[in-house]
Amino acid sequence: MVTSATLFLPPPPPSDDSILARWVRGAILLSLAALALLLAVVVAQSWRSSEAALGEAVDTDMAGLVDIYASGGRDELIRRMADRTVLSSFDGRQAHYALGKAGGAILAGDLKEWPRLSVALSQADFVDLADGTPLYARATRLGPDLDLVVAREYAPDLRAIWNLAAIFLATGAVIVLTVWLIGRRAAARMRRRLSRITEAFRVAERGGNPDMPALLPRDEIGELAEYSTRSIARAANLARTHRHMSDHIAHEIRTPLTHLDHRLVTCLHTNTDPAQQGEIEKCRAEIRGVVTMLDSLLDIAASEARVGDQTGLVSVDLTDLAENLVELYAASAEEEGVSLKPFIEPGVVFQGEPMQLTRLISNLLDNALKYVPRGGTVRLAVSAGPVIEVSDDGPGIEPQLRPHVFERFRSGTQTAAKTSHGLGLALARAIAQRHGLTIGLAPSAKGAHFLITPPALWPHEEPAS
Amino acid sequence: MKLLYIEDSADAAADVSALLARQGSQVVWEKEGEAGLRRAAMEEFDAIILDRMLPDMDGLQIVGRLRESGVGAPVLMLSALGRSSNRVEGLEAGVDDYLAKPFEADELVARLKALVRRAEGRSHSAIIIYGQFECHVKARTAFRRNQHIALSPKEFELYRYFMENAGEVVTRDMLLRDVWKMNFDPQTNVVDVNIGRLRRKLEAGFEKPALETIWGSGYRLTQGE
Repeated sequence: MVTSATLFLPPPPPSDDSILARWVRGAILLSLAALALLLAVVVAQSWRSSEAALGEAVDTDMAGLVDIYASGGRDELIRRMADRTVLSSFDGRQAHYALGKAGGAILAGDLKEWPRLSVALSQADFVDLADGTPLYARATRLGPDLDLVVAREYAPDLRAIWNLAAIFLATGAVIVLTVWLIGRRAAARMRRRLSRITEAFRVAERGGNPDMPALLPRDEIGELAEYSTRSIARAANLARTHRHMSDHIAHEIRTPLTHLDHRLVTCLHTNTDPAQQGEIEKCRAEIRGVVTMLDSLLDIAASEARVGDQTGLVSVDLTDLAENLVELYAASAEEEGVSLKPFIEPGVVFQGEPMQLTRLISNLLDNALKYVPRGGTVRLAVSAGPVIEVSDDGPGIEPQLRPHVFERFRSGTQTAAKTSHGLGLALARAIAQRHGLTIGLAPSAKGAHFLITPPALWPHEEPAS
Repeated sequence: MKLLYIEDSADAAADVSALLARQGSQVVWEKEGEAGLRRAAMEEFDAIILDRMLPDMDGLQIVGRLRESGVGAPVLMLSALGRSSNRVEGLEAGVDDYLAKPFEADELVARLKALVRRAEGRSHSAIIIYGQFECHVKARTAFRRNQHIALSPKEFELYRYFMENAGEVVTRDMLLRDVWKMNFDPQTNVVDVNIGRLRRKLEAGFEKPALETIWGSGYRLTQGE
C-alpha cells in the first residue's frame, strides 16, 4: 500500500511565456498570414481586370481599324492610325500601331519593330519594346500581304496595382502594429491582474494574509478574484477553526484530567495501602495514556490538514537527524538484543519540519523495535531524494493487515504483545504526506520494509491510497 | 524561589501554588494576562509560570510583551496544549521552557530550578567537580574518584548535563530536549536505557550509586560518596 501527496509548486513561468503574450503573438502571426493572402488575392484580381480591360481595348480598336480598311482601303487605314496615335488615352494606356508587309517590313504606324506575334493565329500577348516599354498587342492579317498590329501600353495598370499593394500593405501594417500594441498592453494588464490573484494564493500558501483590493471592475477576472478571495478566506478560516478546535479539545480534556491527576496524587500521599497506591498509579498511567492518544490524534489531524502547506518548512539535515536518532535508539536496540544498522548517506537535506521528521523516523524505529525478536536486525537507511527506509527481519506484517497498517488504531501484527494505541504508523503517514512524501510497505522477503520517498522515486507501480 | 504564576483557573493555581509552597517557593498568582504583566513589571521574580490560554490574551503574546518591557525573568509555559508543535511554538515565541499538563510535581520543580540556575548565569568552568565526579568539558573526559571512565560522545553529553545540574532532578523531558534536541516523548524507554548504560559505567567498580532514580519523573546525580 502506498500513500502519496504533492507538496511543492513549480516556479512561476517567465513573464514572456504568459498565455496572453503567446496568444497575442499567435494572433499577430495569423493576421500577417491573412494579410499576405488577401494581398495576393487582390493583386491577382486587379491584374486579371487589367488584362481583360487591355484585351477589350485592343480588340475594339483592332475591329474598328479592320472595318476602316474594309471600307476605306489601305490609305484611309494609315491616316486613321496616324490620327489615333497622336490621341492621348484617358486611362493612360497609350495606343501603338504598325502596318506591315508579310515578312515584317513596316509600312506605317509608330511601332519601329514588329512584335513576335503570330499573324496567322491573330495572336495577342504581352510584349516589350526594344526601349523596354511593356505592351499588350494583337497582330492580325488584313490581306494577302498586309498585317496589322494594335497595341496598348500597360505600365499605368502595373503602377495602379503596385499603388494598391502599397496602400494595402501600409494599412495592414498600421492595423497589425496597432493590434500588437493594444494586445501587448492588454496582455500585460491581464497578466498583472492575474498575477495579483496568483500572488494572493502565494501569500496564503506562505501563511500570510492576502488582499486583492484593486481587482475590480467587475468582469470575469474581477469575478475570479472575488471567488479566489472568498476561497482563500474560507481556507484560512477553516485552518484557524481547525486549530482553535484542536486547541480547545486539548485544553478542555487536559485541564480536568490535570485536576483529576492532582487529586489522585493527593490520594497517593494520604494512602498507605500499597495495593491501593498501585491502583492509583494505574489510574494515573491511564490518564497519561488518554492524553498521549489525544495528542497523537490531534497531531495526525493537524498533519493531514497541512498537506500541501509550505509554511514552517525549513532546510533539515536528515543525515544529522537520523544519526542523532540512531545514537538514541542504539542502546535500546542493544538491550533488546537487536542489531540496529544505520546506512546514512552524508549531506541529505530536505525541506521540512525537523520535529515532525524526527517523529516520523522515531515512530518507524519504535515500531520495528517493538516487533523484532531478540537476535533480529533493524536497518535504517537514509539517502538523497530523500529516501528513508526502516526495515527489519522480524515476523513482518500479515498480508491481510498490510492494506490497513497505516490506519488509526491498527497494529502491524495480530500477535502484538506490547500495548499501544496503534497510532504511530498513522502519524508517520500523516507526517510523510504533510511533507509531500510517499510512505508505503516495500516488498520484502522477510520482515517489514517501510519506505518513504518522493512519489516520483517510488520504485514500482502501486495504486496510491 | 519567588515565582509569578499567571493562570485563569483558580483550581489549577491552588494546586500548583500548594505543591510549590511545599518545595519552599513563594508563588504570587495573577488571574489575567494584563494583571500578570503589570505584576511582572513591578516586582522581581526568579521565574514566571505562564498558562497559555488565558481569557484576555494568549500566553505567547504575554511572553512577547514581557520581553519588550524588559522583564528578564525566565518563563515556563505550563499549558494544556502539550503537542510537540505547541511546544515548538512556545519555544519559538520566546518561552524558556514548556511543560504540558498533566505534569509531575517533581518535573515542574526540576524545570523551574533548572531555569533559575540558567538565568542566574551559573557558568561552568572547564572542569566541573561534584562529589567524586569530575567532568573535563574541553577534553570531554569523565572521572570518578580520579578514575577515568570511558564514555561514548553521547554518554559524555549526558554525563555533562548531569554534572551541570548536579544534585538536582533531571527529567526525561529535559534530557530529550537538551541532549537529543527532541520536543516529544518517543513513547519507548530509550532515555531510561541510555541512562542505564551511563549509570553502569559510572558505577562499575564502585559501591555507592551514581544516579538516583526519582520515580515517575527523572534522575539525580549523587555525590557518589
